[in-house]
Amino acid sequence: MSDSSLLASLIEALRCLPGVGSRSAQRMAFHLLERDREGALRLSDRLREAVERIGHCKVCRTLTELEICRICADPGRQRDTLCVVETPAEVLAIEQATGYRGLYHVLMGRLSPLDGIGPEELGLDRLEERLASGEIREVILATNTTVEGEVTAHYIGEMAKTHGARTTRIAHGVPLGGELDHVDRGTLSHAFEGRREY
Amino acid sequence: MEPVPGYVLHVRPYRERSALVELLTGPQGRVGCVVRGRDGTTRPFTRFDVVLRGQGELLTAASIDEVAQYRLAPRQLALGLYLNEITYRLCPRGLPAEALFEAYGHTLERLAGGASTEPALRRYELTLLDTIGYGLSHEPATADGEALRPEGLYRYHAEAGPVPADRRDAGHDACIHGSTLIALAQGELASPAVLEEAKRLLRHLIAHHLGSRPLMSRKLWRPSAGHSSVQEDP
Repeated sequence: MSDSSLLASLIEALRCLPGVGSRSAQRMAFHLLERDREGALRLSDRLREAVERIGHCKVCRTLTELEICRICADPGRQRDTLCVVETPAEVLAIEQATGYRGLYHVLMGRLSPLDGIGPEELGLDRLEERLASGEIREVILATNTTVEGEVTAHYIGEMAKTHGARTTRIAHGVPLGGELDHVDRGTLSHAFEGRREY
Repeated sequence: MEPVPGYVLHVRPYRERSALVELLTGPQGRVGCVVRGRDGTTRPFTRFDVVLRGQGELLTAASIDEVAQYRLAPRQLALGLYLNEITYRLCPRGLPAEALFEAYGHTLERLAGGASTEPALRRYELTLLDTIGYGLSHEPATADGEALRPEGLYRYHAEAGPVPADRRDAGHDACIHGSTLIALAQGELASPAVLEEAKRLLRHLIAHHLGSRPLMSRKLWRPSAGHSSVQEDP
């Protein structure tokens, strides 16, 4: 093992990535230094640039280097439909998987009293301002199906109703291609309760 | 090792695939444990049989099997989180809590059943105060040992108990009729008048024991959502 302290600190720094322990961090560091120094420089440039320049969209709060993100600025999007999600990754997932053409609001979290996150901490006043503008006619509640995600959906649903917007909740149930006996009890009972005419 | 039944109070992600789970059990009271293989089924309002290993503050769940899941309607979820928050904040880890465990299960059933939840919530709050050593006296007497008069008005001091109220106490949250204290001592929580005074008193006592940091779950009731929400909050 080399005694380079710079190498040790690079390995330590790489461990901030999710799922990267000391072994993987070591492998990454050696790979970059031994085989791909150019890639390493590109990575470090992009990282610095991204961290310095990417902030939050003024309107929907998703991650963007622009003041207003591309979706919010797109005149072709339906401005009367608002989909509420917990994270920017979920915006990407919905954009890639569905034909949704409305706008988003990214909470950057969810209500969780035991973690000290209430409506104020989640910046729901910002969402309330958007609803109060009167432009939004439907709010799609696409928060996760965790207990905290459900509480958040309920709270925002009530908020939307006071501003006269219709609220819908995305459907939950058996995954496509899934087998019933592999689905957990909670999901299955939810899927049963939410069954539809066929 | 024998599994113990426990209710999940809170789950936090831990490392890539594990979770830090806070449980309420009978014999060990509140317990923090690491559950490996987080898959979303370990969630609040679920009862598990769990085999706990290790010592100290954080245990490891050697096995964890779901026994029952309580499906709370969206508007009951905030009440459930209130239940979990007061338990988490007031009940220290490791304090045996058999009665609290029973009361928790009963309250969850009421919440999941959508029936009237007020008496169950008040009973739970009373049991919680009992568990942590600040229970209301089961002897309906003042701090000086005098018998309570049903029509008398008392001010309940969090640490000392009830003392006859004077004019300055009027309208204070801890101001309560002797009849309500007698009913609470006897575990009678049916009448609306008792429930209303008990709610006010218990809210005051819980706030006192919580200290300066207020309950976050109370903020889940929107102040502007109309009068129905005001009645629903605990």
